[in-house]
Amino acid sequence: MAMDLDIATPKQYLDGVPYEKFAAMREAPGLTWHPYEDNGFWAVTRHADVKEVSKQPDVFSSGIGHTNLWDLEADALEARRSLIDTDAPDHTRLRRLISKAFTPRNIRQWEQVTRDIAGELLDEFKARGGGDWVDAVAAPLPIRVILSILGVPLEDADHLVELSNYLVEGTGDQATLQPDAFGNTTELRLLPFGSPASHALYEYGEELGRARLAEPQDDIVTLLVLAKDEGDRLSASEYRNLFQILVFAGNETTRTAITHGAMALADHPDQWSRYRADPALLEPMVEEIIRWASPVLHMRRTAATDTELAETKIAKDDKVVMWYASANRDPRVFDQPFQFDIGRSDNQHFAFGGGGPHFCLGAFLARMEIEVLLEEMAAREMVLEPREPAARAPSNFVNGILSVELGVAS
Amino acid sequence: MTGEQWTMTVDTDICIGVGQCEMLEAEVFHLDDDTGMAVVIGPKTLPTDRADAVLEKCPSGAIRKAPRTPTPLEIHSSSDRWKANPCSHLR
Repeated sequence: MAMDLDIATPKQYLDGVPYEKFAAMREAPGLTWHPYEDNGFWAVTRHADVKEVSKQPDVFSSGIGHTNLWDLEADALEARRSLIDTDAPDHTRLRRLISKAFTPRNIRQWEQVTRDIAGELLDEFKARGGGDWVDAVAAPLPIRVILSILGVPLEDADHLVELSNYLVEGTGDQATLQPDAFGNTTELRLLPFGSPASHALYEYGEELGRARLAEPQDDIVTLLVLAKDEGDRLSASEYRNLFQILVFAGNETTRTAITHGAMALADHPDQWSRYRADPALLEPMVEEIIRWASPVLHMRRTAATDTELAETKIAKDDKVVMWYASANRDPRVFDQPFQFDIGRSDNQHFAFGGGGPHFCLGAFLARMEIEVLLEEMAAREMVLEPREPAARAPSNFVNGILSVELGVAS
Repeated sequence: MTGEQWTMTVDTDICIGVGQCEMLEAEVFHLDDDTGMAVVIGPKTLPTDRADAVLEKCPSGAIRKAPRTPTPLEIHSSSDRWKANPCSHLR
């Protein structure tokens, strides 16, 4: 395989997603074999093929090798396993335990909390005439909302944001934390994202769990810790890894969508005007923002048996990687895929996944947060303007923006 | 007559509450807020193409379709006896 189709080296993502490489792979026949460290993976880049992989969880396993590109040893796999890298029947049990907290109506209960937080952040941003959108709005909003839902006290929010940022860093090339940061004594390879910040999150989750067991409240940590207490419903390891993934997924991904969305609206003021003139465009605009952002760039599966996809033979234990960022620009599915068009109907994007059992648990929550934020922006007649190019994260896993200066038109 | 109608059901032993059904057909599917599982609501039926679309989207395979049982009125009014001479009972 030609080096110029390398989509794995994280540093290139500093310049943006390598869309032209994905386009070349989509046009090439079959699946593309991509070398990676000692192994390699099948790059699945077409929308239809990503869908097919998602619909066959028994063949394309999330549990065998976990869901990132790298290989882990057996003890690391077990220590780090969570909802996302589990197969049926454990996945079914875990998902059913938590899914009720994320139904559309249960999520709507948090709408007012979300609106209050969004309003406060936007008022501040508008008063200053702009600034770093990530720091001022995109990062704090989702973290404060997920922490409210989890039941984490507000005074601990900043600490958890910091920890979460370190986890994101763990998906790139460089790590700024020492292995013994936060009092960590566990080997890094046994920690999610290989980061000592995970240790700190574990400790926090366990402490909060103990507090909720003593005094149950109407929040997710109480839900989980009561299940753990019942003995066979949720193990200690499952509990702490589930807490950790909820903090990470509920925070980092929505931040990314909100940032790319704001940048897109600043770069395409005609689209923002379109929505202002027709508020019924709110829902399609949210879906288009999510497609545009593709916050999670890929997820990996492992073939449980010999199989075939797109006329390509796949051997048992081969890694198979779904590139949602590519599927979301597939011209076979999206008319003018590189056009930011808030009026797209029947937006079949895969930013929440290809539609299998691991479909994003937080999809209704993400949509609600983005909808509310945009409504509050419109209510304040805020028009965003570009100022500085964004500083991107060097990650092949998340489409991360570290900071971006935006202005508010006066 | 319009196309065939199908009665939709959800097997709650299998359902994991992803909610693709509600996203597609909110008049017929609803995620229960106490259990997180899908329940069938409203008319509980869909025409063939929409029923098949929901079946295809359901990630767990918990959704099933069955031919809708016609109502007594439908059986009655589709009978050939009435079509041939709808007012014969008045003679």
